[in-house]
Amino acid sequence: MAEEVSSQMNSLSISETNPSSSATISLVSGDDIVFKVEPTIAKEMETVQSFIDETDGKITTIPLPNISSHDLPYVIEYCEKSIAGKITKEFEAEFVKKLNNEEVKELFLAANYLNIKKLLDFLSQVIADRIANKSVEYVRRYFGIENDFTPEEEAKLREELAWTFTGVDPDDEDEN
Amino acid sequence: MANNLNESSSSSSISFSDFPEDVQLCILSFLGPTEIASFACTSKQFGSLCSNDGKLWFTLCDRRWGSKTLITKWGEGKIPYKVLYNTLHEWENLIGFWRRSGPGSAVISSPSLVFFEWGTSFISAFRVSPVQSQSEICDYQVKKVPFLKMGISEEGQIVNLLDPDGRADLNLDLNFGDGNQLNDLIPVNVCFMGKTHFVLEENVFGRNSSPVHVSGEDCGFGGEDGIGIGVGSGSPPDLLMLEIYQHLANRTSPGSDRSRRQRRKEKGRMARRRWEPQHFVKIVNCSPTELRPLQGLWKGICADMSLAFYLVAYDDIGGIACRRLGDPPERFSSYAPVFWTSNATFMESPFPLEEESLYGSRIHLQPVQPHNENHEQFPMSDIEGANHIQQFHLSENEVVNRILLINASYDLVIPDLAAAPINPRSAEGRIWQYRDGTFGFGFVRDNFVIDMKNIVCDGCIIDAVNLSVD
Repeated sequence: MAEEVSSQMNSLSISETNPSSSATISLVSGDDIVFKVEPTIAKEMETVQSFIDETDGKITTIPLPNISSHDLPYVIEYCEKSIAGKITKEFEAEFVKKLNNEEVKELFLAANYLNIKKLLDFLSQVIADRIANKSVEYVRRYFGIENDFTPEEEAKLREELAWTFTGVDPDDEDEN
Repeated sequence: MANNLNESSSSSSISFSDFPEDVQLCILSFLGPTEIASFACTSKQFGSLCSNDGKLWFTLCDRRWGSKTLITKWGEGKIPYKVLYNTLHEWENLIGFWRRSGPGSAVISSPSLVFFEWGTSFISAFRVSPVQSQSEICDYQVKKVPFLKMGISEEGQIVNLLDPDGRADLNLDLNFGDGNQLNDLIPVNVCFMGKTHFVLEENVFGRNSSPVHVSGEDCGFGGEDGIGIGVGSGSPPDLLMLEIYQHLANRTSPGSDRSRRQRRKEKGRMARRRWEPQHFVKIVNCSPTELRPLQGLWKGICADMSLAFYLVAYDDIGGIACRRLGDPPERFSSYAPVFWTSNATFMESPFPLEEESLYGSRIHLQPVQPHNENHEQFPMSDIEGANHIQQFHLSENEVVNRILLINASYDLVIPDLAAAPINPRSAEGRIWQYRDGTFGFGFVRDNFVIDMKNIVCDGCIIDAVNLSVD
């Protein structure tokens, strides 16, 4: 499998890379779309950087099979802002507004895979905000969690934790 | 591989259960207790994750306070993190400045200002006061005297030790069970009354903070010391404990010599109360904000060349008042402002010539530091001859960014004048805000500027001198 991928990558890099931009790093999404980024961007992604370091910088095309071409631009955008030191509350608010719940989760997993600490913390906060003051049912739906409690068990647990269920917001319309 | 991707994207939703556990914990660490409880009810798997002390509750503690204190060191690392979470959740609000208040506080000679800060495995409080000049040399140094240390014993009991005289080094890693070290220290309860008020009361049962013995005859009676230590950290004094104790005492060993001896001893203890309850009020709005750039606690060299603390407060109708935090306390009790202005609108650069010369003709009151030349922006000898305009631009830090007019004052800087009728001109003055965000103020009648410096930076007292009271 690994060989397959790398041979595939080689063919991609031959066709896509022109010699003058050899300094750029090519990130290949799971659906085989190539994104060219500056090496400084790659530095933000620990997973990518360690890949480059391991090969002494000879390989500049990195396959990212777990990340789709839909999510990767968001990740790159965030890293670009991060390098420029332009991560402000306003930027983050705008950034999040574009994302639905599923996309947040996908990006979160991408950030985890790429090991981008700042993005990971930020998205954790976003997810936490989105389930704040929500009912148990909402949280289950949000995370796709199957309820495996018997009604009796659940009632008992809720009774134990009853004091925490004051001030729960009414459920939003499910975004998905 | 491409297939895998398609499969996962075709499924309608990514389940939280599919996330790696460290990733799950990362998300959960941003939740509050309420959300954690909701989350615990979603399924058995997460119910058990949420009751996992070492994983979930550690992560929660670490997220909130990991940058401020060593989470694993509290209670010698032997207490449940959930206990730690609940404790720190309550204690966190202590961090910052508090002022002693309430009946009788004016007659207490010790400094009224107390500063709470994070320690490695405890929260400690210090009495803080300006260092008073002993000779000619006066500096911006702040005296920091140990006052209170709050921690958790390895049994999970809350141990608050008060250092009434500021003698002990509370920064020593206290073994909370070691009686020897506690001779000078008084166990106390910190009783919270809302968010901005607490009472410090002697914990009369906790004096000999010996470890709890749960063996032999000690358990019924002699263990009273142990019982009292942690109980009611946040609750009113141990009246209930006293009752329980008396009940136990009468039941378990009626008429026994030992019991009577103990009871006498206990009465003796009550009589030898070493600490009268003191009330403390939080100084909220302790630091500047964007809208209130002058707000907070500051220190400055005042007209008599001694260091003083000032508190600048904004009122709801746009006025600003600056008061000197007084030690000795009678100054504080009168509580008249040093300066006051009803209009907080700054005058922006460029300034009219008369404003430039008003500022430029002044000296900055500052510590006399004969051996520290680079600190000297305005050598005293140059006062007379200095070129006004040059002075205006002399120091990078003291380049004036904005000017605010002061239109009223009560003269506390020179107490003798306080009784004299205020003439309008004496009340007139300026606040000069510098480029670094600090500011100085002065009155038209004077020829000097009192510069305000920060007392705290990054949660620590700066220029601190750790002094024990002699």
